[in-house]
Amino acid sequence: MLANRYRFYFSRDLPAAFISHLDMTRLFERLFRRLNIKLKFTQGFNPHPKIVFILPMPVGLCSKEEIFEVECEQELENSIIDSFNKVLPEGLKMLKVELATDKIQVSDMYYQCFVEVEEEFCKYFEEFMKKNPAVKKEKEGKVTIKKIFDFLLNYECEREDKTVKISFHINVLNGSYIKPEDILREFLQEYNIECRIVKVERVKVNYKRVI
Amino acid sequence: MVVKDKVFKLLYDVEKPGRYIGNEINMIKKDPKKVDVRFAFCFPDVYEIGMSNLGLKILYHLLNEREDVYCERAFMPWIDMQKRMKKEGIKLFSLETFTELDRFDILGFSLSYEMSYTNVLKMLELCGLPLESQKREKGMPIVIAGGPCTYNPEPLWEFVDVFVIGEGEEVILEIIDLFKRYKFSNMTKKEFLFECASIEGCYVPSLYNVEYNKDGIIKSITPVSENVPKKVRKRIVKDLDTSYFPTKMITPLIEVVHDRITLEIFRGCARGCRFCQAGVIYRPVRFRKAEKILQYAKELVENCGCNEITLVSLSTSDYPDIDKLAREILKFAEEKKVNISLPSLRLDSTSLDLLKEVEKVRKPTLTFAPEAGTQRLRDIINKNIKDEDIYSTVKLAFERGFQNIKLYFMLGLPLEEDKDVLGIYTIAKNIREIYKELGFKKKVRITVSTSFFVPKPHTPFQWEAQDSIENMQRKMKLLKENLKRVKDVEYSWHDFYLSKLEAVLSRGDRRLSRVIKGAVALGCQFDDWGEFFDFSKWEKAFVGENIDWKFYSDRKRDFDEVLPWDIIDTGVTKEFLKKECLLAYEAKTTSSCFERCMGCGVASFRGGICVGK
Repeated sequence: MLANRYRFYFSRDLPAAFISHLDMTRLFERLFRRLNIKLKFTQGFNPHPKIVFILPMPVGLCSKEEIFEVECEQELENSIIDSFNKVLPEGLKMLKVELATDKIQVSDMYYQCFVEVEEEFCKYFEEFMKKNPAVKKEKEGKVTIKKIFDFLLNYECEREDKTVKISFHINVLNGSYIKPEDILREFLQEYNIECRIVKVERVKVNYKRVI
Repeated sequence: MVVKDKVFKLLYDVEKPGRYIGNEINMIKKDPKKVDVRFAFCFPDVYEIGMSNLGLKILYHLLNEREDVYCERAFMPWIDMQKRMKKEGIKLFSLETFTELDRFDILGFSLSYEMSYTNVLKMLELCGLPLESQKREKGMPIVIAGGPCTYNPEPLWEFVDVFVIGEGEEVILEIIDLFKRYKFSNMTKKEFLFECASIEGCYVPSLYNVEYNKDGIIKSITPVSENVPKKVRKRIVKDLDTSYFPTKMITPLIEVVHDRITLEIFRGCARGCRFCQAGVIYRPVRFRKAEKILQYAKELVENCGCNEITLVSLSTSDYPDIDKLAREILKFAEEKKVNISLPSLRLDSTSLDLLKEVEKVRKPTLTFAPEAGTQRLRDIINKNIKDEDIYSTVKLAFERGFQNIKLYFMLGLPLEEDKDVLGIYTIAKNIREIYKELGFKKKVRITVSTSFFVPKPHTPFQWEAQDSIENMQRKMKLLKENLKRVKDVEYSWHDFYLSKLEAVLSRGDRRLSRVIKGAVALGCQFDDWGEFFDFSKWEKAFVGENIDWKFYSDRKRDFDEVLPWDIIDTGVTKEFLKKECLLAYEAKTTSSCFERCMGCGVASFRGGICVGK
């Protein structure tokens, strides 16, 4: 029988947000096994199921809607969503499932970061952003510099009581994007500000469907 | 703000935050207000190690079977988390309800290895509780401790209210019943401790006086009153088939050290290696029926979803028809893409075939533990592996495509001579030779690791001296220089000072409790973690208490010396241990319990394979 590729939509909140990307894959593999769903496994020495997250989720990130795709050796009913929600740990929730006949790519996404900081935070942040800043990242000795506004479509910084909410609208270009945490870190370093993150959330992700 | 919210705010800046979130598959959720007893199972190491411990899982689910008890878990937070917690004023908390531990009724510590003693004190400190049992009044948690290290409880005697000696499945429930009477009446803590002492398997150290001779050797250990037992007898579960085993086991969300289902197939070991403590304290051998194991295996896969199941025991090959059992499990495991692993298998041609069949996914590595390099020394320690066994198995293994061979040995065993050390080199050299003769072109990897002999309480070698640091160093170098000459051999050895401290702590007496407290004050914690272990701090702590650590490790003891752990009765008699020790001196071996009864004394428990003998 041909394997069916299914697309699962789910949300992630605290405390599950602190599970790493690799652990998420293992967690879903285990849940599929518990629900007696036969997945398609890779061949060879160390077989593992083909579970692919469209966007990897950094540790600590909450999200209203994420997607993973998985190949099954059987057909799935919609009721699988309820079965999942009975066994998922707190913070994870299945939203819907569909047969994946096409391929999708991320086009742009919205983030919200909630931080506990001093009074003047927003003022300094505006000042920082006016300088057309860049994010420097070192990985395996290679330094990449990304101009923030090459990827950032819009942003907003506003105070709500004790916390500051910073919203970002980020564009994905050829599969590459910029992380709001990196923008924040760059800013905090330059201005030598201490801040405590309360929550980082991907509020919405827009996809392009390709054939 | 509730503790949970405070904790979550710290998690953005700490390593592996998944350690601190709880919420695992099959975690037990209860309303703490609706129980009589709140119990915190405390594991004195990080989450990933604690959650690999089978004892934790058995007792956690067993206690939670009771409606009147809520058992939660707490682990040792990593240094970064400790600092953050201190800054925010958060005490050590449980993972189920994020309740700070000083609000619990009972804290139950698992003592799996001596090197975690400082962490026990550190965890009490992180709860904000007084370390000494005496200073904890009624209303504060009762601190109990169990696990293999309680077979010499003395080094922690000041800090722990009650030690549970032996297997905890039954005795823990009796303690809880007594605790309920204590909590809901005007019974004093002292009265509670007195009553505890009459539960079989409970050792209440404060109810015993220890006197010493001038030379520092113990003169006597005496109970404070006639109602307190002279000796504390260990508890065992007589029948594994009727005893409790959880099949809806709590399963971590993050990767832990043993990231798989562990299923216990039998308890105890019949072999009687003379250095091995587990072989004595877990006697007698008790098998679990194959049907039970099979049923548990199925349920565990259904309930946990893990992709691997490991069948644990002290000596897997000794399970009757292990072949048949493993193949039965494989039948449904394969279907579900679940892998089986069989640790501590004695290696021969049948078990090699079995291994190849069940461990399909694993990179084939063969592990051998001959423990000593010559037949003479192996006879001394009663390890029944012959050189020919090693060579013939290795040959079979090479022919079946195994390319990694791991060999474990011990240095510093009693009566060891340099030719025994060099015997290890000879074995490695011969194995390399066998590979060459088979004409394989691919690379082979032979790993030799040595640990240092640690004389352990309740073993035939409990009276022996440990090698001095200088001797350990010399033997390691001798072996290293020789192994350098053999191609494809890698050599690794265990830290000298760590082995030294282990020897000191495992055979220590009451005076060490002050030393441990001093070491904690000097910053010792996570001693088992190479990056934190600092022997110089320990030395300082010993000097501070005017104690020479060599008294505990490097000194050979007389057979008639009063030993700190004489208070504990494992069922195996001191006469038997002495007889075994004398047989070792003559390099004479002893049969296993399967062949005939050697009269060790544990048959008095009337359990397991001793029945009918």
